[in-house]
Order: sequence, then C-alpha cells, then structure tokens
Amino acid sequence: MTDPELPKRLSLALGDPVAPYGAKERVQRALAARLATASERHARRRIWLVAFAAAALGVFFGLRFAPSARGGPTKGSLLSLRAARAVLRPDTELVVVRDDARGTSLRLVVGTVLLHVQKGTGRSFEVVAGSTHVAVVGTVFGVAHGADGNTAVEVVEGVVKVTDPNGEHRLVAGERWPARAPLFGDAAELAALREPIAVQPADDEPPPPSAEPAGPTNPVPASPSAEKSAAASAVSAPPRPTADPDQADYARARARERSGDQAGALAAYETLAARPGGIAEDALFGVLRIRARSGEPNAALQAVAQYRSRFPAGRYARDVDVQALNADAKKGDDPASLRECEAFLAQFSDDPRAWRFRLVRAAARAQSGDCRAALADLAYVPATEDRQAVLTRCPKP
Amino acid sequence: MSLASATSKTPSMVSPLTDTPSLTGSAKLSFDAIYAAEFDYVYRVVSRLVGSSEAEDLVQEVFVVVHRRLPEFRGEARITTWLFQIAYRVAGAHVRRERFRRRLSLLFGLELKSREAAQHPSGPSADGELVNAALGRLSFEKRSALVLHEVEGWTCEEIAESIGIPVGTVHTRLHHARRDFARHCASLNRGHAQ
Repeated sequence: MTDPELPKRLSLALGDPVAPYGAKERVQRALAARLATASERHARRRIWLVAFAAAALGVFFGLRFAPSARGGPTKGSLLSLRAARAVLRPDTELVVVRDDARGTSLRLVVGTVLLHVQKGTGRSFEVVAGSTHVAVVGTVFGVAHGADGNTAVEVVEGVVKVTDPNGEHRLVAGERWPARAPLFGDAAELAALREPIAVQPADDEPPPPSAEPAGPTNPVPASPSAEKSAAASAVSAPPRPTADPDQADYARARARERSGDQAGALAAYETLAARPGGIAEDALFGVLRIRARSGEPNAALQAVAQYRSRFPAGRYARDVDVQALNADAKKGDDPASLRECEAFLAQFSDDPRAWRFRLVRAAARAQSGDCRAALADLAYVPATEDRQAVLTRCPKP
Repeated sequence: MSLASATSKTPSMVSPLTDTPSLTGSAKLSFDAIYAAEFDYVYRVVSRLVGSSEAEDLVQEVFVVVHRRLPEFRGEARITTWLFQIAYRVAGAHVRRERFRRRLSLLFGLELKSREAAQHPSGPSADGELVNAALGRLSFEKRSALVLHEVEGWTCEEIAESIGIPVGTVHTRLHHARRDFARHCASLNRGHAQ
C-alpha cells in the first residue's frame, strides 16, 4: 500500500538541493588543483604498477626455475647408490625413496635415468615411473618418463620386469618397451655406466648371502610369468666364493636350487638348518622359499613359524612376513592374511614390501565395501593386474 | 548551449532521457563547457542520491571522472544520461565506502562524527529527521529508486534506462524501498515515543 503523503514527506525532508552560493567556483578551484597534478599521480601509479608486476614476475620465474625447485641434476649427473649406479640425463628429477641394506626404491618423476644394478647382492631394486613399476635383480637398463606421462624402458643387459596398468612385460637384453627411439645412444655414457660397481656394505646389518630378491612374488597368487622372471634373474647371480664349510655347503645347496634340483636343495637346506650358527638362518629361509615355490602353503607356514621362533629379529624377517602372507593368501585364509597385513603395516609401513600388504588389505576392504579405505591403501600400490582388479570393485571417485 | 536545468533559477532534476536541449556532438564538447552547463544538474543528482552535506566533494569526484572519460564519450547518448550514470556510480561507491567505514568504526568502538549533524547543529524538523534517518537505513539502490520516482517523478522506464537495469528490477526495488521505508519509519517512531 503506497502512502499518498510519501512524495510530499520526502520532498520536505530532502529540501530543494540547489547548489549553495559559491559552490560552483569552490568546486572548480579544487578541481583545477586536482587535475593539474592528475597526470603526475597517474604516472607515479603506473610506475608502481610496473614495478609491482616486475617483482611478481621475478618471484614467479625465480621460484619456477630455481635449481633447488627443479631438483634435477645437470647433464651427465652420476648418482651412486649402495649397489647401483645411475646416470641422470638433463632435466631429470629422480627421488631416492629408499636405499638401504634391504633394497633400493627410486621414483622417476620426469626425465631419463640409465641404471647399472649390481647382481647377486640380494637387495631388491625397483623404479616407479608414473603408473609403471620396473623391478630388477641385476642388469643395465634405462627408464624414461616424459612430462606427458609416458614411460619407456630399455634393457641392455639382464632381465627386467615392467608392470603397468595394461599388464606385465618381461624384457630381456636388447628389448625396448614400448618400441621406440633407443635410450642408450651415447657410447661413452654407456661405458661409464658399465664400470664395475663397488657394493657398499650395509651399516646396520650384513647383506644377506642369498641372491633371492627381497620380494619377487605377489601377495596374491603370483602369475607364472612373474615367477619365471624371478627365477631367470636368480640364475644369472654368480655363486659366492667361500672358505667356511657351512658356507660351502650352503653355496652347493643354492647351486642345486638354481639348477632346478628342488628336492636335493631342500634336503641340503634342512640339514643345514639343523646346524647351529648363522648359516641355519639362511638355510631355513631356503626351506621356506622352496616350500612356497612348490605350492605347499601349509609346509611353508610351518617353515615360517620355525623361522620366527628361532630368529625373531632375523635378517630375513621381513621377507618371511611376505612369504607368510603369500602362504595365507594361497590357502585362502583371509583372516590370517589380514592379521599379517595389520601386523606388518603397523611396524613397517615404509618398507618397500609394504605395498604387497596394502594390496591384500585393500582387496579385503573392497570386499567388505569399505572402498574409501581400500583406495587409501591402493594409493601406495604400483600398477599391477591385482591392483586393477581391486579398482574395478572400487572405482576412483 | 545550456540545459533547462542549468538556466532555470530553481533547476529541476529532469530525467536525462527527457527531450530537453543538451550538449551534443562529442567533437564540440569541452570539459569547461560541460562543467559550466551541467554543474547544477550534477549537484542536484548527487545531493538527491547521498544528501547535500557531501554533495560538493562528490560533485568534484564526478567531474574528475568526466575529465578522464571525456575522450571516450562518443556523443551517442545525451550528455545528461552519461553524467547521471557517472554520478550514480560515484555516489553508490561513496555510500558503500561510508557504510563499510561506519561498520569498522562500530566494530572497533570508535565514534564517528556525522557531517549531517555537524552541518545542522540544531537539527532539522522532527519529521524531516525521521525521514532522513529512515532513508539512511535503505540500501543505496532502494533509496535511489525511491527518491527518483517519488521526489523527482521519474517513471520506472526512465530509471531503468538511466541506471541500466531491467524495468522489473526497478519495480521490485521500489516495492521493497516503500515497504522498508515504512517499516523503518515505524520503528524510529516507536523509538522516539519511548
């Protein structure tokens, strides 16, 4: 409802806004003074703006191209690891996730890295580049990871297992994946890379005498190709010269195992495991390894229990955990598998083998419908078929 | 060339769209000519939109903008339309800035001296004081629509075209302005009675 008195009230209250006497001249004088200095003020403002823009650009490009921010070494940078040597091409960004007595884990963010990994050290060696996971025992190979997310691997010597979202590929010497321009073009670079590596002894514990990688098998039933790959790599490891009779017996047992005489190797390991001394630990782990490989989960679990009771803080303790997980998974004993996972991850969540436990736990969580927790675990798992299988159950949001 | 509003002794703030003689042709326009011809018009617009106490300062601001923007004026619209739009923006920015300043002062417990009170120490009439207080509580947009329509007699179409908003929006603003104005008046009346 409109108030009929409203215009009148408003007019009376506001009055007639006539400019007071002299207002026009006053404003004109003030205006003249302001306009006289306007150009100067505008010029000063423009200078400040230009200075500010230059400073902002300087800060932006300074941060972007600062050497520390890139972290990339210069051309031909040589990186020495415990049992490997790496040549990093220009603009390469490589993160050493882990490099200790148990193994080495590298993450290639971008660029090309050529690697020479010492054979027969018993350490695991892996390179993760984007969604591609490269596992190796001892070889000369190169990995390139472009800014576009594409990864390429070339093997000069030895065997490499490449796992990407599309599956696993086993590359032998001279093979490239995917087939494209070679990574090793510089002969001098390759020669420098191939120079013998002096393996640094572990500070905290002696390196295990076994040439078996820390965890070559998957926690879920391993694919035959993976086992074959691991076996092929293990064959290439040379026997270690020794003067100790126990060590000599152990070396003979290892040779039998490598030659395929699993029964003979098992008997030799069991004899050695009964002896006192440090060799018993190696032998017992040999027993466990053969039991696990021959598809006897119950026998493998017995060996696990024996090892754990005799060597609770043994050199193979973490590998035994992996074997226990494998055996439980093979038996289909999900509660036992999950117990192994929880126990391992509670203590060794940053161990290079931890992703295997996370994968099993993720599968269990996905099965129970807890996709959020499953995806959190999968974030640490390299791209494998098993990971993909869990992802199909729990697609990323 | 001069405006009716400029030559008249008691200038009325005609709508900038009303067909009255005006400065036309940007080539012929000079800042001094515009100032001489349109000062009263701009003063009236500004004092209607924000009150006469701050009109002189704001008129100066308006002409600073006019001086800066004059080369961009192509003469396609009436000079009064252009001046009104500048004055409306300058006044709106001033009102919003003052409100923000007042809120900050309230927040930090500072006392602000009102220029209106300083200019009228004895105070205006009781109803005038009430109306001004109620108008002061309206938003700039509502107050403008109400004053232009009720006091200056502009049609909704003229207001819409001058400000550059749809006619429906003007109707809505007017409706809300009348309702809020009545409510503020009632509440201020109750306050005085107590």
